[in-house]
Amino acid sequence: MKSPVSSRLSLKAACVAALFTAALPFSALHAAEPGKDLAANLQPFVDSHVLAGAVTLVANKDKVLDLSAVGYADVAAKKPMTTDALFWIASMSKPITATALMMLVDEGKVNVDDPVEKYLPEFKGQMLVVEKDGDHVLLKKPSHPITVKNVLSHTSGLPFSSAIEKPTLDQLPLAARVRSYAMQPLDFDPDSDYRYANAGINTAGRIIEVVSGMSYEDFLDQRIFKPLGMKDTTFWPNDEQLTRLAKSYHGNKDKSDIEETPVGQLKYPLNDHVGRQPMPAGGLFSTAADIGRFCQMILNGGEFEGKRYLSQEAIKKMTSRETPENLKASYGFGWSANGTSFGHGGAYSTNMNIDTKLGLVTVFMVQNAGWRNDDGKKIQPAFNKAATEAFGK
Amino acid sequence: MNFFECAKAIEPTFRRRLSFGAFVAFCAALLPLAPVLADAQERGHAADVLLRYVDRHLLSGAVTLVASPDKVLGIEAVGYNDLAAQKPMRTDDLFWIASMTKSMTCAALMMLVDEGKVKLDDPVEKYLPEFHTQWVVAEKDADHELWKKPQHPITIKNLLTHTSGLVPRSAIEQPKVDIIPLRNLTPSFVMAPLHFEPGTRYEYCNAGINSAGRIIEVVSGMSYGEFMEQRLFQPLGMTRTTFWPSEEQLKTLAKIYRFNAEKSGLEETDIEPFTYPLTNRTRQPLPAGGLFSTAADLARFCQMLLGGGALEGKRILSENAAKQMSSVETGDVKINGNDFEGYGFGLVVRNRPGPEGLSAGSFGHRGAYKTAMWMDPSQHRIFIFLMQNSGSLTGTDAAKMESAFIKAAIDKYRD
Repeated sequence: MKSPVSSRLSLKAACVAALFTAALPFSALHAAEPGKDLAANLQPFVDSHVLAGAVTLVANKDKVLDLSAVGYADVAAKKPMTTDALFWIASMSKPITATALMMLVDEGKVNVDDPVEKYLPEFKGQMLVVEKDGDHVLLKKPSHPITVKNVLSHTSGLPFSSAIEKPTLDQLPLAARVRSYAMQPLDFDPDSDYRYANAGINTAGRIIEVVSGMSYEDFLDQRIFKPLGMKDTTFWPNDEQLTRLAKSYHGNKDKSDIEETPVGQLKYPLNDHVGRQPMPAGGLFSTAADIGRFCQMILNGGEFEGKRYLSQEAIKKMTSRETPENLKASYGFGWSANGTSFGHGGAYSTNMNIDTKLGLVTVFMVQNAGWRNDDGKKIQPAFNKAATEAFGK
Repeated sequence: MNFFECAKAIEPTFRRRLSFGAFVAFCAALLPLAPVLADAQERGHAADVLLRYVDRHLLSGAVTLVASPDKVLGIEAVGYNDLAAQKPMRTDDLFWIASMTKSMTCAALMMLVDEGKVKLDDPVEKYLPEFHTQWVVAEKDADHELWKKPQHPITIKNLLTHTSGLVPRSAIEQPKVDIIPLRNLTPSFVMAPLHFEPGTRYEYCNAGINSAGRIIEVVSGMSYGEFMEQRLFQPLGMTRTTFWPSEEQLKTLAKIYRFNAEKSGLEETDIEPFTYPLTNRTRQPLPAGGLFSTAADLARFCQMLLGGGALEGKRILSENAAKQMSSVETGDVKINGNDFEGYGFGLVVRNRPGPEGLSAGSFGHRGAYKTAMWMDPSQHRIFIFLMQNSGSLTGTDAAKMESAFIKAAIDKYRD
């Protein structure tokens, strides 16, 4: 039985604290649902001050097999991580946006082979940079205007973000940000290359708005979050949810320990509905349980607990490789696609994965703004290994 | 003058304010005072020329003001603030002055020039690093575009005189212009290449003046709205000039009209590029056109400019700054294809006498909804014309009304 180290300041203080906390009952420090407490496997990383805390989930088609937490939501306050902790899931928002868009494909309202300009006329006439150096830029028409398929699979040639999306990514209305993407020439001919681009997924989010007549965030709420019971999934954590927000950490200056940091990509306060805008490419906050349910719906082929969200065809299309074969990256529509396995990561090291062969959903939630050493890269694999050993057939 | 002549003289002005019975009673009561009151109640020079437009449903209402550098000579309200409510226009009513804001933004920037904090020939990128990567379109057709580096980077002077080549508006300023904060807006101006080599042409450009507003922020350390309030409006006593009309002020805001589909009359409408409610402080103050003001407030600004930068002993701008901004700064570059007008800093400048009677050297600015202010240094006169029409009223028609007022005013207040 291990006791969490409660001091992050010095080894001496750590030892003293360890002696102190050794007296506390284990169950008071670890909140674990019935299951195998897989998160406990990550305790060594907490002890060595590489990981502040984590929540992990494993599920199959029908039920949650394990939901457990390790370490701290707030190291300085010694607040243990609980399984209902809230996390900024960042780019794990992308598969959710793609799912929303595929719902419109199922309804016949969007065709992924259509040019984006069919839905967003500001993209008409977008040019392509064919030459660029310090003295000149030569633009030509691209082989074809960018398609919905292109923006979902990072093959459009749009940039990661535009010049107006500073200092944080979440300040300006989606419509304005997407117009700024349309203003710029493309960086490569659509379909010729892959470059991970928030701009593409944000554009897909704008298409959802224009086609549905609803704001992007309302569409997600009404069509996905509410029906799936994902009550903790939102762009704007409310006051109660903020009390459960896991703090973010990165290595301190000399990398001897971890220190707390705000999320650099987002504007504070996080519950400001006026100052902050939804980001289809990465603005969501969620819990392991909520993401677990979303993934279960996908694993079940789009139907879950009596409700149908997506056709099986849409799921197949979305989670199969769309990037050209000659490129290294294997990506579908808003999903990283690896044959029978697909999922997505987030900027702060969160991850969700669906393995159709094993029939397993795995969700890994941390708030990492930069591992202090390479041990950090071992953490998720350690969880994956434990999950496969415990539940993989 | 007998009763009937008196009645006839004042009747049109009062026609819309009083019921007929009250009107008759009023005129009757005036009888003994007729010789005295006839002059005082005489229809104003502006009403004289503008009421026919009201009658013809081309004009809902207007406020006009004539001033000298030292005092207001005459201020009139004609027609209606609100046609549907039959609410007469009042002389202190509020108007969206739109691009007349440009003159004030430029005056604000010239304050920083006076303080030595900004030089007009400085490249904009010195203050706004996002302007570092500028390209200019060298070739363009359906199949290709070639961009080159401009021979000179854009200067602050280019911004103030519409000679920068910047796209007039950024694509992200749609459909509303008051959502994006200036510091996010300015990077979008340089995402598109310049239309022409800086300094070589004139193209009316909101982006240029908005960029000047951002420079004011960066250099002063204050928000643009704050700077305008503290450094210009307060010192000048322009107490009713604001980007955000209060609930109280909204009651006096002249309603906006445009022609109905059949062109048979006027229908009420909103300020198209703005988000409502106008009181909402999250709306962005736009250097290129966000202000609301009154005739009296505008007169104070104009008196300051015409007075060489000071008003009632309070100096706002150096004489040099006031002179420079109200002189032609566009050199040989033609405005609108001719040399009738040149451009100063946020001010149109007349190179020749105008048909309405303005002298050569007169300067001023108009606003999108047909407001106008003119300053004539030779005749020592300020002319302010405020109405609100958002559509279909052609520039020519509006100019006709504006000219008619100026002509009549010059006549009436001839020295």
